[in-house]
Amino acid sequence: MKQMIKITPSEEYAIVQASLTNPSEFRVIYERYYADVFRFVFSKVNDSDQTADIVSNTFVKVITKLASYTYKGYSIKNWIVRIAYNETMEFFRKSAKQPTVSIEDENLQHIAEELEVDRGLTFYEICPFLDRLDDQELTLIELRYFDRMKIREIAEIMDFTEAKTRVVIHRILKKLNKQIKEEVQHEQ
Amino acid sequence: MSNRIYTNNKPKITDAEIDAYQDFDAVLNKVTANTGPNPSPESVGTSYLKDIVGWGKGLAIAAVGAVAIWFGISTMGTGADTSNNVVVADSTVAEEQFVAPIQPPIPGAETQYTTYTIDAQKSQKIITDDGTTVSIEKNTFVDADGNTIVGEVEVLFREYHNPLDIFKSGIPMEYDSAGQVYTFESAGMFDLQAEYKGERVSTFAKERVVDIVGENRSTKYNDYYYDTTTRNWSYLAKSTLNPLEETEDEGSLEAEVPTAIASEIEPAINTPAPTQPTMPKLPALLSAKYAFEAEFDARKFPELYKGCVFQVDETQSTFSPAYYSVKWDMVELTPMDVSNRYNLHLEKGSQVMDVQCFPAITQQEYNRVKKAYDDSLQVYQQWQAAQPTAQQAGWGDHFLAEEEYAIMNSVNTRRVRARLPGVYNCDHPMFAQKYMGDRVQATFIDAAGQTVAPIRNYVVERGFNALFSARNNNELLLSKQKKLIVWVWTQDHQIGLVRGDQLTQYSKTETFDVELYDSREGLAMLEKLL
Repeated sequence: MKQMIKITPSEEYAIVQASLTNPSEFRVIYERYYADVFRFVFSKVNDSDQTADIVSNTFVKVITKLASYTYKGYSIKNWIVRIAYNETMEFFRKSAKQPTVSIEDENLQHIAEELEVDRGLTFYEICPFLDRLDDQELTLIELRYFDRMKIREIAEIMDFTEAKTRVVIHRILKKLNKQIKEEVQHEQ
Repeated sequence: MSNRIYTNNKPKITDAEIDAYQDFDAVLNKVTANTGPNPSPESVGTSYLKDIVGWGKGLAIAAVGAVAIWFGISTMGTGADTSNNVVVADSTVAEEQFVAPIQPPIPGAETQYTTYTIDAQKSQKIITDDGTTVSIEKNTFVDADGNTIVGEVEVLFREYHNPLDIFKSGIPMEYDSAGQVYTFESAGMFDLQAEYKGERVSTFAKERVVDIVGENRSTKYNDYYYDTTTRNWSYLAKSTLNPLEETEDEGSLEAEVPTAIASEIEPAINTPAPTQPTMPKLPALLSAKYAFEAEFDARKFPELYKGCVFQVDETQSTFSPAYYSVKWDMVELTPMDVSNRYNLHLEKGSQVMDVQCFPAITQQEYNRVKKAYDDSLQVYQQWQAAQPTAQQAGWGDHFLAEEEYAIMNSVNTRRVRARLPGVYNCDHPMFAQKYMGDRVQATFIDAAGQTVAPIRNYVVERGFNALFSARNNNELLLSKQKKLIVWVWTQDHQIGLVRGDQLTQYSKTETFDVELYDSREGLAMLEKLL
């Protein structure tokens, strides 16, 4: 297991500022978050070579866009993940490849509770409903219930306010809940 | 199902496999190849790049075509085949030469869009955090082929209400009308866009009505649209001032306000404010040679004494007796931000005049009203002494101060009809030099005595919603009578603030000391000052 040096958000920001004039300074942050970004992209792309290309492009963009990064007292990681997310979506738009949505059983239970479906949901039951969501809606559900991220982290990735993130996720759940209930009634 | 693959077997990859792909040097090489080692902020701005993608391509292609033709002619004699590599090289040149019409000086610092997802088949009203409403009729959106868009559309909206917002936006505030350049004083500006499936919608089938919130009640403003092709503002119509409407709950998309905060704000807003007498003002005694009578609506100008005249402030405005004999098409009196000062706006054909004045009365009238004034003042002071403090009133921190209440009551909306996506502005064009008065050849030096090279300089009068910016970077438009804030945006991407004490005493050629800040610190300083 690789030993990671601990860096505080303010130390990261000092590195960011140094990288504006000397991009090689960014190596520390690159090495620190490479694996996290890789896993995030890989969970959607499900191909390691394609993921490596996307992650490489992500870091190129991150370094060239450093001047536009706004330090808010948090780690730069989620800002990098936001760029990785945009790069991944761009990859799917340009290629014929289909994005992968991974739903593990424990997460299935988690979202069933949020949707107030007492009897729980099976993988095959929930997929048709998730499929009606647009890309952004599905990403929000994935980040919140499948990747178990905090609202603040999701807000940083999606470039929303925390309040907006809460409200949008609430609306998506409400929509899913309504659709599931209608389906149940229809079956009865 | 759509084009997604759902799996309950999450793809697995080991740390060792991931590590094998790490190659920071390769990333660094790409960065250097793309932008050089020190990319400028202008070249990396996220939102501005997004904005120019759609039609920037057109310009780039046009430029490629032009260069390719030139190259063809110049190599005709040699017979060399250049068809393959020319286009690649020149397309790079064309893209580098392209300058976006709207360039935020500090990419990322500009007001960001708020996104509202709406159903294109439903008529809806968006309400922003600032209280501006965007009314969208159903079937407003059409795609590039003119087909009505079906499904969800993302409406992107942002508004600019003060000089700092305007500075950060990079939106040009100069208006070229038949070769005459004016500076805009803004009563509200917004940027409205829409996206469908990640692509910008380029036109609307129906007008979208935007009621933008503002505090300025003057009727002297016009509506303009910023045409990114001609890079100039297009006049649309005379600005329409509405009383603030009650917002409708049904069908509205309110910007998200956390419930906890909303419940704290509401009691303060809904609690009826005590009836507040207006502080009486004693009219000045008429003393100058130029004055005029003007009819005014006492409900709009409760502070004015009925029967007062308006004396021209000759320190601020030039006035000629010949103006008395002109039959003006339009005469309008507007309170200025400076206490007890009014702007008299006169128009006849192409002749437009603005005269600064203040209310005054004759000696005889003065004696008579002095007593009435003293009585009124006593009533006002008694009322003021009887007002409970914030804590006594039970409103805690949310007590609305007199000033805040006045702001709340002065809020109006201006109705703008948007047919195209883009930037709209309710503005009053004005001659900057005439308004300021002094044109100064300026040199700027930093604390180390080094000359600072500005890309552009900016002047803002406190309390006045305009951003003055001289085209010549070493030229400043100043006024010793106005409270000004002046800064330069340097070639090193720094903000240089000119010390305030230097703005009251200067000559026609002046050296100004500036305090240099990096862009973020500079913005924070400006936020405090403005």
